[in-house]
Amino acid sequence: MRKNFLLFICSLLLVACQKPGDVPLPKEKDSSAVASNKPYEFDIPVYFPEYEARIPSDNPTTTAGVELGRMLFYEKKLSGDNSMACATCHQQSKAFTDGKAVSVGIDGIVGTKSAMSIENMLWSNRFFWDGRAASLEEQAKEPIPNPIEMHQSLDKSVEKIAADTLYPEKFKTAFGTAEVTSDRIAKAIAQFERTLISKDSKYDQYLRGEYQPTNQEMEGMNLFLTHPIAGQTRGGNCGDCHSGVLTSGLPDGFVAFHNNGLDSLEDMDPGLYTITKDSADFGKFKAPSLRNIALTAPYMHDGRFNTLEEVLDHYNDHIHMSKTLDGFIIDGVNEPIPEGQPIKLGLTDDEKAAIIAFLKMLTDEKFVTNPDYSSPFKK
Amino acid sequence: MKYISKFSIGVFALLFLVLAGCQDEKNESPAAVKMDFSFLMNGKPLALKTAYQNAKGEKFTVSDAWLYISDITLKDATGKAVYEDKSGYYVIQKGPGVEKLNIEMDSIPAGTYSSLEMTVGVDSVHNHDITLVESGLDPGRAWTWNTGYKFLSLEGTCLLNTPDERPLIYHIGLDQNLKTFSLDLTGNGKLVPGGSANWNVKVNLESIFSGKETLSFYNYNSVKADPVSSGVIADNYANGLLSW
Repeated sequence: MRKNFLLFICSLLLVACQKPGDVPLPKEKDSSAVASNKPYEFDIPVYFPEYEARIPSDNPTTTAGVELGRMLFYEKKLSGDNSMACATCHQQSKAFTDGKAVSVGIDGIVGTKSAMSIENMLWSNRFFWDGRAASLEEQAKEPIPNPIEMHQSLDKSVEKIAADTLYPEKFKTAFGTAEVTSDRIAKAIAQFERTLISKDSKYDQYLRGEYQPTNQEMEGMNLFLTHPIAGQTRGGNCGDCHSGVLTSGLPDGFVAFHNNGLDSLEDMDPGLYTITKDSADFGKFKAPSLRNIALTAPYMHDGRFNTLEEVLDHYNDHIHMSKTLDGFIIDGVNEPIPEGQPIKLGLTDDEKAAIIAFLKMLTDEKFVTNPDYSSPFKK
Repeated sequence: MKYISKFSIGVFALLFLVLAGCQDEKNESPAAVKMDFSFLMNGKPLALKTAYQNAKGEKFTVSDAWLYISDITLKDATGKAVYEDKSGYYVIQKGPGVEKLNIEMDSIPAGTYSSLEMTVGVDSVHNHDITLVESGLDPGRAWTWNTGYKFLSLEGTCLLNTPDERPLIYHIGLDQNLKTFSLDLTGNGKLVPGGSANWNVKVNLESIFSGKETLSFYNYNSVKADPVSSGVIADNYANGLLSW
């Protein structure tokens, strides 16, 4: 009698002192379910920007959500003929790109855009080259029904996943219910994608004092980070758009979108203009992260450049003028440009090679081989 | 019976203490302040991509403006710093698709304050150490670990009478350009226990273009990590960038 009373009091105390915001544990006594959903612990380097506030409050990152998301990312049943998964165009060995200029869908239809790398997405706020998706959750829902990509309606996808005995239990652990919805599919995939963190390249090791770059790599790094002052300071002008340790555009509004002189007005893909309908945004595309860039050829939104050398040559010698050409590029010249002459960055061959040596420092072997990011299915 | 009732008293006392401990302490409650910033050009709200004229009559537009606010301090009438936020670095920005215009300060000791001080920029210790990425510091807003963070950024276009427009790019940083502003709180500085106040701070962008030196875009369309030209601009805005 006394013992029961004591137990009652103890349970009252536990309830009284519970903090709000604890991850709710499933209510059943099934011990495997109780044990298997916890907040996912990110391991972010101290020199990366903040990230907690960037995770949507209606989709916290949990171990079960991430595991389900990984399965769905590699799940070919999400395509009309069961031949393609997200991972088909986003292959881990290529830092989640596919090595093609533009991707091809299940019907053999060639698209218009190059598959973007999925890495450090916690620090990006707009997705696709034209920025039309405002979240990973929103982005994940588009390739599945797109006729030139995976070509399967979201309803059909939900049906196939729900019918697969592998999944309902996983949904229950991750979301508290076995009911499969397209929202939950997208949420799980987004949770998994947030865990794809690249932080162990030679550049990261240098920042942590673990790697001493060669002279050429150091010169390349300095050029990469420096905006040139004509006739005064040498610079490659890269860091203005590929900023900070993430080497990507800042995740605020549309700040990360730039026209980098690929085309003149007549030939230009409208890019960001498609979303904002502001003529000042014509031809602007997202400046993605350059981490693992040596693995993600071909380059640019339409994959027009096969090598890093071609990319450097573009910036150095082939900038196309237009009304929306980015101010950083107009201003970023190593030698003064006479009035009316085309903009030339003005790097020497050695300087271009040095920048490429630095770009190769951004390759992260751990990232592309991490088993946590690989397919959970046996081949 | 006697034994059981002593036990019950003990349990209830324990319960009471625990539940009481779970509530907030009821010492004098701190106050909170919400600071709202507004970007102004010549006294009117900044409109992006709208043509303005500088003091020399040269036309320009602004596409993005931001600054780092740090070391927010509240001082009493004797000049003593009663509240100091040494670890918060706040971006205040108006740009394409982005507005960051608020700083929320909590846990301010209730009292009467005479001045609000803020620094535009990042202190020299944090400005050169990538491992000290504290609250609000974003390495994407830095150049390198030699030159450090940008303190104030103004981007747009100079609409000069030349065949091509010139970009307007002011990226002002460097330790030498750290500027502190003091705003008077006399008559308006009382914060009551548990209360909250709203303070509106103006960012007067035209102060960038004149002051110690009246700038012409022919000489000053793009200024970055050059100590001389960035120093001129910082000395300009040291006088009047922030006000009530």
